[in-house]
Amino acid sequence: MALTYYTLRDLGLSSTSFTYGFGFDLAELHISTTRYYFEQVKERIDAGHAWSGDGRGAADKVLHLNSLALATSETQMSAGKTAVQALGLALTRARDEAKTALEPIEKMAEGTPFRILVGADGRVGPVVEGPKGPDFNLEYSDLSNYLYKEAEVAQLKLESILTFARSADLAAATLFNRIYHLRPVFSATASSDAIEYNEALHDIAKQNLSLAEFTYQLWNGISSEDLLEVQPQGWSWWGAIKGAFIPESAEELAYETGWGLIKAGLGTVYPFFQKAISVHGKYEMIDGWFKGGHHGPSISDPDIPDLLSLNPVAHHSDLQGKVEEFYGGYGSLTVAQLAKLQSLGQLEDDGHDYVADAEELWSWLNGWIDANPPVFPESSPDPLTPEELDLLRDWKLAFRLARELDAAIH
Amino acid sequence: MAEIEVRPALLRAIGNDCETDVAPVIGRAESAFDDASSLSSLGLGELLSAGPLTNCYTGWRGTFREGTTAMHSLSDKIRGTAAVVDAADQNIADLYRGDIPEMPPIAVNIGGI
Repeated sequence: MALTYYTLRDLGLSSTSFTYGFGFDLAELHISTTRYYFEQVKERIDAGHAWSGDGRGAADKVLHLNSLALATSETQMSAGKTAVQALGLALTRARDEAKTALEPIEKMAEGTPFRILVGADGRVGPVVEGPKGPDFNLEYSDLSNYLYKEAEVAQLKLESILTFARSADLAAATLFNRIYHLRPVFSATASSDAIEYNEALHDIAKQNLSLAEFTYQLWNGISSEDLLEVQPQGWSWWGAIKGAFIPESAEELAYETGWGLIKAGLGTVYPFFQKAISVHGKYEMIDGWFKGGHHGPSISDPDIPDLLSLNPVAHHSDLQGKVEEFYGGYGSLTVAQLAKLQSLGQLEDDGHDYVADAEELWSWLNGWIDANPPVFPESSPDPLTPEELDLLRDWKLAFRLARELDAAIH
Repeated sequence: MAEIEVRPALLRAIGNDCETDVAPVIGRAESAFDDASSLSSLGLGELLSAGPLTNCYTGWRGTFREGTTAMHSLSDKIRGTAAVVDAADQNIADLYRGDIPEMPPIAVNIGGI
C-alpha cells in the first residue's frame, strides 16, 4: 500500500512516539538481561568446576548455540528499534514539511471564496466554493492566477516530500523484512549445523543494525532545502526547474536519498543468500560477507529490479567519468561506502585502498566544483538557459557526491 | 571409558539458575510486542512497512517462545547431568543429543526492492 498525503497529514504522532520502537526496545532489554544471566550459566559450566568428561562437548555446543541465538536476537531487536526510530523521524519530518509547504497558499486563500484541495498523491488545487459570476471573475481573476501558480509550487514540494517519506517507508520495510526472516535457532539439542546457521545470522544481524543506524543518520542529515529544492519565484521557471531540481521519479529521489543504502544492503546480503546452498537437506553457510569482493548480484536476476538506470548521469563528460567511478557497477557499494567500511575494519582486505580512492575522488570533485560555479535561479533575473541548468544540475551532483565522500573519510 | 568428574550440587544450582533466571526473562521478551500499539490505530496501516513490521511481531514471538522452551529443557538437562552422576559419560552426552527441527532456509523476501 502506498503512503499518501493523508497518511502524513493524519499522523498523530510526535517523533518521540517512535523512540520506544514499538516493542523492539522492550524485547531488546529482556533479551539483553537474558543474555547476562545465560552467560553466567555458560561461564560456570565452561569453567569446568561442576563437571568434566566427554559429555561436555555436546553440552558446550548447546550452550554456544543458544548464546549465539541470544546475541543475534539482541542485535536484531536493536536493529528493529532503530529502524522504527528512523521511520518515525522521516515521517514526522515529512508531515511537518508538508504542513509548512501548504501554509503560503492556504494563507493566500484565507477569507476568499477559494478553498485549497490536496489530493492523496500531493496534487494541490484551488477550487471555488459556490457559484461564480461575471463579478467574481473581475474581482478574483488576479488572485486566481496567483493561487494557481502557488498551487504548482506547493504541489512540487508535496510531491518531493511524499517521495522522501515513501523512500523512508521502503527502507524500513526492507529492514523489517530482513529482521523478520532472519531469526536464529534456540535449542537444547547439540547441532553443529544450528551453530553454523546462528553464526551466519549473527553476522547478518550486525549488518542490519548498521543499515538501520545509517538510515537514521541519512533521514536526519537531509536538510529541508535538499528535501524540497524549490524556491517560489514565479510561474516562468517552474517547468524548467522541475526538470533540473526535482527528481523526475520516486525512484530517482529514492536513489538520491536512500537507495544507495538499499543497494548496499542488496550488494552485501544477496550474494550471501545465493550462496546459502542446500547440502543434504541442510544449509551450508558461506562465511564472510565480503569474500566475493564488492561486486553485487547479477543484473539478470528477475527478482531484483534494474537499479542501474537510477544512477545519476552528468552532462559534463569529465564529471560523468567520476560519477561512474563513484558508483561502480550494478549492485556495488559506492566508493564512499567502501571507504567507510574499510576504515571501520568491516571490509575484507583485498589489498585495495578504498580510503585513498575516496580521498582522491573527493579532491577531484572539490576542484571541479570550484572551477565550475553555476548560476542559481534565485540570483538570476531571467530563467536559466538549458546550458546553465545542465551545469547547475551537475554542480549539485558533484557537491552531493563530495559531501558523501567527505562524511566517509573525515 | 573416561573418568567423569561431576559436582552434582553445583550442577543443580546452575540448572536451577537457568530455570529461574534465564527462561522467564526470555519469556518476557515474547510478550514485549503485546503492548506495542496497533499500527492502524496510529494511522500507519497504509505504510508499506506495516506488513513486515507485523510479521516481525508474529515471527519473533514464536522465536522467543522456542527460546523459552529450549532454556527450560536445557535447565532439565543440566540438572539431569547431576542425576546421572553414576552413569557412564556416554549417557550424559546422550542428554544433549537428539533431533533438531529443520532450520528454515536463509532467504529473504526483499519485497519492494
